[in-house]
Amino acid sequence: MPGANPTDLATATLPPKARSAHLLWWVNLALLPGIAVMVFTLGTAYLWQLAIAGALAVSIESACLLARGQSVRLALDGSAVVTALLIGISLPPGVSLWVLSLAVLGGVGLAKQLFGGLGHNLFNPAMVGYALVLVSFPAELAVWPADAITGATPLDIISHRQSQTFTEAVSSEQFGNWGGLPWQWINLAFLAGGCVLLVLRLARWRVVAGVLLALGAAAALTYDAGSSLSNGSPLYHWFTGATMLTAFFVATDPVTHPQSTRGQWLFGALVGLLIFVIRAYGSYPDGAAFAVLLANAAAPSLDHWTLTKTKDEPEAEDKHEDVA
Amino acid sequence: MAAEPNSLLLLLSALLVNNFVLAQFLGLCPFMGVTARRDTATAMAFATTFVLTLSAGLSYLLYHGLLVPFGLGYLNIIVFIVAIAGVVQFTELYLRHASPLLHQVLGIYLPLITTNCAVLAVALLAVQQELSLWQTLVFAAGAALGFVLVMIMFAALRERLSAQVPRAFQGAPIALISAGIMALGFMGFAGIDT
Amino acid sequence: MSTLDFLQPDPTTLFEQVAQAGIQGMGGGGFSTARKLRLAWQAKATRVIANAVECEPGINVDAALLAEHSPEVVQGLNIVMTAIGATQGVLAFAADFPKSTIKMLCQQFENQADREPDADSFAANQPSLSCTPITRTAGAGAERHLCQQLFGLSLEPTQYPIDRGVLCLNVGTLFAIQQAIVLGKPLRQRLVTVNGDTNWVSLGTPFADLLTLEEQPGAKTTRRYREGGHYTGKLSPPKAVVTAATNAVWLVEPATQTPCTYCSRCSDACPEALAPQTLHRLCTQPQVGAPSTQASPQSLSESALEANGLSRCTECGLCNNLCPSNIDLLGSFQQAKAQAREQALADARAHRAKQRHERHVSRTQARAQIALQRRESRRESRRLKQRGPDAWR
Repeated sequence: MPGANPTDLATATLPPKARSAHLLWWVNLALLPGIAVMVFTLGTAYLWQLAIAGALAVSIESACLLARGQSVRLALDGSAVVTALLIGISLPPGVSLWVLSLAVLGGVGLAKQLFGGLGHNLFNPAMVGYALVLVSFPAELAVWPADAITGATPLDIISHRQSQTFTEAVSSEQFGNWGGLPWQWINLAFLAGGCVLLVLRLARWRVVAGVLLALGAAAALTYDAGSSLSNGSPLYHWFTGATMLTAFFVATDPVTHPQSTRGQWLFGALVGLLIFVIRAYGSYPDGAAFAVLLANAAAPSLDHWTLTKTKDEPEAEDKHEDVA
Repeated sequence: MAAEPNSLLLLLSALLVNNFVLAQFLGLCPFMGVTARRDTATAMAFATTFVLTLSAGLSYLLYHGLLVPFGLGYLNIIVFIVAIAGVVQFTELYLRHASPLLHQVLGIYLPLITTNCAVLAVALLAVQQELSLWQTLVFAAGAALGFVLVMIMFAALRERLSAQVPRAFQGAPIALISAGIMALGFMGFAGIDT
Repeated sequence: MSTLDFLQPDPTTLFEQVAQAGIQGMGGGGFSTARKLRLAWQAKATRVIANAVECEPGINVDAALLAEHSPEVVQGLNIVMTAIGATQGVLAFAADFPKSTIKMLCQQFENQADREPDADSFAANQPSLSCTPITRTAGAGAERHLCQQLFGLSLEPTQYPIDRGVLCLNVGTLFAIQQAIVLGKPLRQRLVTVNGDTNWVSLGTPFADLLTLEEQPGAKTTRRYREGGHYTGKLSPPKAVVTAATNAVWLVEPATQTPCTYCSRCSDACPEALAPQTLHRLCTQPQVGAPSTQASPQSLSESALEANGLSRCTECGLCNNLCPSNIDLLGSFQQAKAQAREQALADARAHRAKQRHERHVSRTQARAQIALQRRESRRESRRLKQRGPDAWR
């Protein structure tokens, strides 16, 4: 019976398959709207910074791969560039080159290649690099360009305001409606890019929802309509600092978050909660990097606890009895 | 640290900000030694919690009830070591008879606690900071819970370490680097105890 | 002609005939059909599913078979039902078969339904025959999914459809049964979708020979073949041949493997809701964080694998085909399962030996105890004798 070919399905060739490298480059693309807004509002210094960080990351990764006798082509799989972009975005524009280099080295070299390369890192490489320079050189990282905003980020102002009420601090001119200009626009742009990730299933929505809901809930519970002790409204926390970047691009790094669905909810919630705690009560103005690192450290435990158990120990013993 | 810190802050401080393992680098021996497996890490962590809180209370009573009245404050290290060793031994004896199951779980870890510097450190720091009995207990509980927290987290983390780690870094080196990055994360808590 | 003309009074004779014709499950399982029939007969299965739900792209044999040979398939279904005494037969086919095939099938079953009551008085319960279209989704053609969808039976992970009185046979198998019983033909050829074209192929044909007809003969050494559809097909060994279970063969390009990025494509698609990425990590990664002095890291990762549900994996291979990093997830699972089986056997052996030893020890102890008691009592009685009866006072 030759030529019996009743459905189209049979003649279809193999379905187009996603490739890991392509997926990782999509993450880079999704970062672009946010980067564009940052460059537009904070100056073109950002572009140089990102380019240098990217080049550095790829060369460090290549060197590590060479030293380990692996294919250097892996350095261009997009993951090193994601790390570099995240570090470049987190650092203030115009930061010293050596601080930038150190952060990239810490991220790509220490947190990724030393742990075995892509897929084997336990902590988010970008946040390791950023946190490393943040605790080592706080002064270098506190300088944000004067032409965009007056020296400090809204989070800095809220963190260090003396007796101003929240509304007073927020009503000063560098603040916009929600999270402070230009941060609200930057966050909105990252939100837009993040939606692309969700649609492409490059980020698990449970993690994103966990971060935003926990942060919003914590802010809402402690919100007192803007007194001098206020920690800010949920809207303010959502659209300021690195919230959207963290929720969509950093916490959702699939290697370092739990694989179980309940684990992902808990992981997201942990990140959101820690961001709020560090912002509101800690001495660092934004706690995203630390929150992600702490949650990364907790991720294997969360995975273990949220595992659906299928077999119990007694059954195994019964089996032995039968065999005997 | 403030002279009269309130209990919650004291607890949080000992638990997170000045975490004994990750911020003060105390108790690293069990932290590296028994975290290769999750079950041993858990057993060790809870055994330490128990002994730590108990011995801190006892040390307080010994120091303020015995050493200070006789002007023997300078003997505190020796006395505390003896007290800790005693608490450990009595705990073991008591557990063996009262709860064989618990004794089986904590088993060999109890004697090991004698040499855990975190236990002595809690007693000494409590004296140094002139804490009251209640505060000493809270401080000890915070330290112990912090120990439990990082032990369990770190044990699970270590199970995830990959075989792809460069050979020179396999084993203890990469474990120490992971611990370092964990400590980096804990630095984010700076300031929440004030 | 009635189906009963070909039936022996004793169903076991029919099972024997099926076995001699060399018929195996032709949906892809390859389980001995004679054994399956016998099991169903012994379990008094009442329902038979003729499975034509080709639930993945890249396989087209059931549709092609039904387009040409649906009367024979229905006859095969009748034979099986009568043999095992089933009362309900359902032909489940994919809802997007060509309209002409579906129309023909429906007519076929109307005829059967009309004819069946007066055709035989053999069975007390009149068999009912029907056909049901099933929407094509991943895994829709699996036995347990069909049981769920057709009869609302949800099977426990350890249960087979036969345990609930359902016999599920591929239409190809039914066709082969019909050919064997009615025409006396053994199973020598089957329909195979080869790179998209469905043809009759003799069993035992090497895959390489299937494709030389249409492919260039060059670069033969680097060629790999995949057996099965686009979702759950598996890379075949280099010298694979067509078997009764081969439903499709595709020529593929070898792909390079890159590290797992935990993108979760596999766990999203897994029909058993497992997390293949986690299982793969556990399968392939030894415990380097643990010093080698610690007790059996091997058993540790095995218990973790068990907790993550390795034994629930049906080895469908969907994860392999979706993996953006081209990781051989299925291969690592199969290897780990084999290791676990060996370990379980070794454990059982050790357990038996231990019990034997314990029994031995307790026996010797008991014997020694008895001997001791005897000695004691003898000594006692001697002592009493020496002291005399006054000693009691």
